[in-house]
Amino acid sequence: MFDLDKFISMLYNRQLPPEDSIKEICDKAKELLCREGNIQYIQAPVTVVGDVHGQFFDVLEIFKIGGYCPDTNYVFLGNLYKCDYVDRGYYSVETIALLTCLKLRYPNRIQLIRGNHESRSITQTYGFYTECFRKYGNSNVWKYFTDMFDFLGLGVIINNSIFCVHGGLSPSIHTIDQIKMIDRFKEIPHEGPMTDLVWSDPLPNSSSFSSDLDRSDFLISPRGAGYVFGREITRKFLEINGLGHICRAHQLCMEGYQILYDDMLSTVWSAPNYCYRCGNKASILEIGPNLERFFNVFSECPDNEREKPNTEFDNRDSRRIDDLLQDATENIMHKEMNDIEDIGDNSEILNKEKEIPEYFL
Amino acid sequence: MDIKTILNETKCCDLIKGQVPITIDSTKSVEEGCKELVEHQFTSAPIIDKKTGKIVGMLDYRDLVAFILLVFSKDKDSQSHKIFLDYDRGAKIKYIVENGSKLSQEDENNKLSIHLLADLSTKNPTNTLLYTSPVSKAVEIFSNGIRRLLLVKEDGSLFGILSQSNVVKYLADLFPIQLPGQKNNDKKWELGEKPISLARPELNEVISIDRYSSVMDALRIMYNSAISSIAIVETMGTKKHLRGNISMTDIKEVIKNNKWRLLWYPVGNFFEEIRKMQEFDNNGIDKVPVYTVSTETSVIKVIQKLAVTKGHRIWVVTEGDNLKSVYSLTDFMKILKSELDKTE
Repeated sequence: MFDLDKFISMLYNRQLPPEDSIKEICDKAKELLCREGNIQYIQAPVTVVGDVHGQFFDVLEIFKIGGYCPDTNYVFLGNLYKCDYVDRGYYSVETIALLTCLKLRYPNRIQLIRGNHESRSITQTYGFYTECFRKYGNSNVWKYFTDMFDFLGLGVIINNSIFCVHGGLSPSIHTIDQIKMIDRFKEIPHEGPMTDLVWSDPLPNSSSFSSDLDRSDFLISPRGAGYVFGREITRKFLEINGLGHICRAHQLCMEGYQILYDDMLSTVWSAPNYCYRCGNKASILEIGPNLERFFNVFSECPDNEREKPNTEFDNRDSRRIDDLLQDATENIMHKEMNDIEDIGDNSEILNKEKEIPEYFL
Repeated sequence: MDIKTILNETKCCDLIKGQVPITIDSTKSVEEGCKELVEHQFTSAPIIDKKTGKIVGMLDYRDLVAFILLVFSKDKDSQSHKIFLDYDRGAKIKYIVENGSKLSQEDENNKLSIHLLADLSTKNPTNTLLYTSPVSKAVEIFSNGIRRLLLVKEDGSLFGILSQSNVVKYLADLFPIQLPGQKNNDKKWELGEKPISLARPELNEVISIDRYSSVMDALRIMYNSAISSIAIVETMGTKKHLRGNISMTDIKEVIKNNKWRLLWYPVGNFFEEIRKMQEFDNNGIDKVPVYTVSTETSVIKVIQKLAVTKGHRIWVVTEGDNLKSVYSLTDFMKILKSELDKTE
């Protein structure tokens, strides 16, 4: 039975719907997103959220301080998931599933645009694939979500004035109309305008780049995709398109947000204490009905409100692997180093690795 | 100004103005030497005996890999035997191996001293060039696969270290950013504007490894094939889908904190762990998992991407991640050499 409200309340409690429900959710989401353009036009008041990277409890924190959907309108600027470290748990699937369900339930109250992580190649490197496999026993859910990512839009314009995108600008794009012409229903390519929109960065304001800030050309990004652009390029883009401000995410900000280029561009980052190591603050950008902008800054949700993974399966499995590998290594290290023939001859221990079905599949 | 003139008239020392050459003290431990390589993002560095000021040899990641393979490997393959046949190296290795455990106990903090590993792999013999030589001379040496040259002054002392990367960066900066469909180069380089697939028509088979093979297997293949990086792929039918790459320098992750068991990890998972760790070191700025260009990207743009990403190679793909070939700094040096060899 497809009960969206039930799924939403399950997900708020970090309970995952079954695999075939996920399939239905993603299919319906694709149908809905298909009808939306590459750029969605919406009205303030609205709250813009930057990278959340699967920090599920911090997403709940965002709803607590910003207001729950649909009472508050939201724009999520992508990078909804990340695979985390074992000791703090993996909640990327729950985060995406919740936001997708909210989109289905309140399509005009929440906008989801694509980030550089909403891509098959990134999901495999950064572990989303592994998390889906762990939680559902196969890769179907990963496929449903990554197919759905192909339908996410590329940008949002608020009150015809504030342009929201995940990464930044592209040398191949001068007008908003050019963005509308992109065929977005595919995997993010390695290069091209669609890639640039989700991978580019503005040049920082620091003095080491002051000569580059007013260049009218882009620089190749050291990230390996997209470009880096400065103040002059930003100013020109806003002028040509009759816009007032660019709001984007994609870069960690220690204070939760950063305003650049005399307020022509801002970065909002919504994952506090990123990956539980960076010690940064986070923020959400609250835009009022007259386009007043306020960065609501917050820190990570306290430890006692954060739960450990609820599947024993996860913890038990990784401990087994660690123990076995530890045995293999200790045997080797304790032998005399000049006993070369015997070194590496721990095949019976190493063969046990083949009995483990899960982590390395 | 054409490329041949640029290479013949620019001096090597101009490419590394202001450089303070990084050298490694011969009494440092393996771990410390490794850390220094990593900090400065080099793959090799000269080892200097502090007492005499003399260059003892070059330390390279490949030396560390040779050491690891020897100690941990099950195979009695011919590569290892050849090392034993060369008396000097054989004696050195025998000494390390016989006394390894004792050395690590006697050394303060249980470390092996780095001078024992100098030049172990024979893959990076010490190469020198007079610092005022033209870049074209350096290109000739680099096109043979040598990565770094020691530039020396007339009296033999070290002026600095010139690498293939320095040459690439210098040339990349000469041209404006290449945008699709735009020809905006005032410095003419005909070959530079051609797509990479035409610049190097002989596409060598890329050496790759399946993502479920172990890190140890990857090291062995790299060492035996004399390459410093291998593509991690997932084979689907006839296509090899690029999932990542592992380089000799990733050994540092194994050596750090003695995580020897990582050698038996599946190489795909090892790669993912490294990427995550690199992101933390980079202030949360994530990067693409592997640096790629398409077969149609122009040579200049490939070089610019190599320069910005500070990579030693870039993978050439079609249709997203279908791996076609690889393009290394040495390949680029070969192209430059062929440009230099052309008679007008």
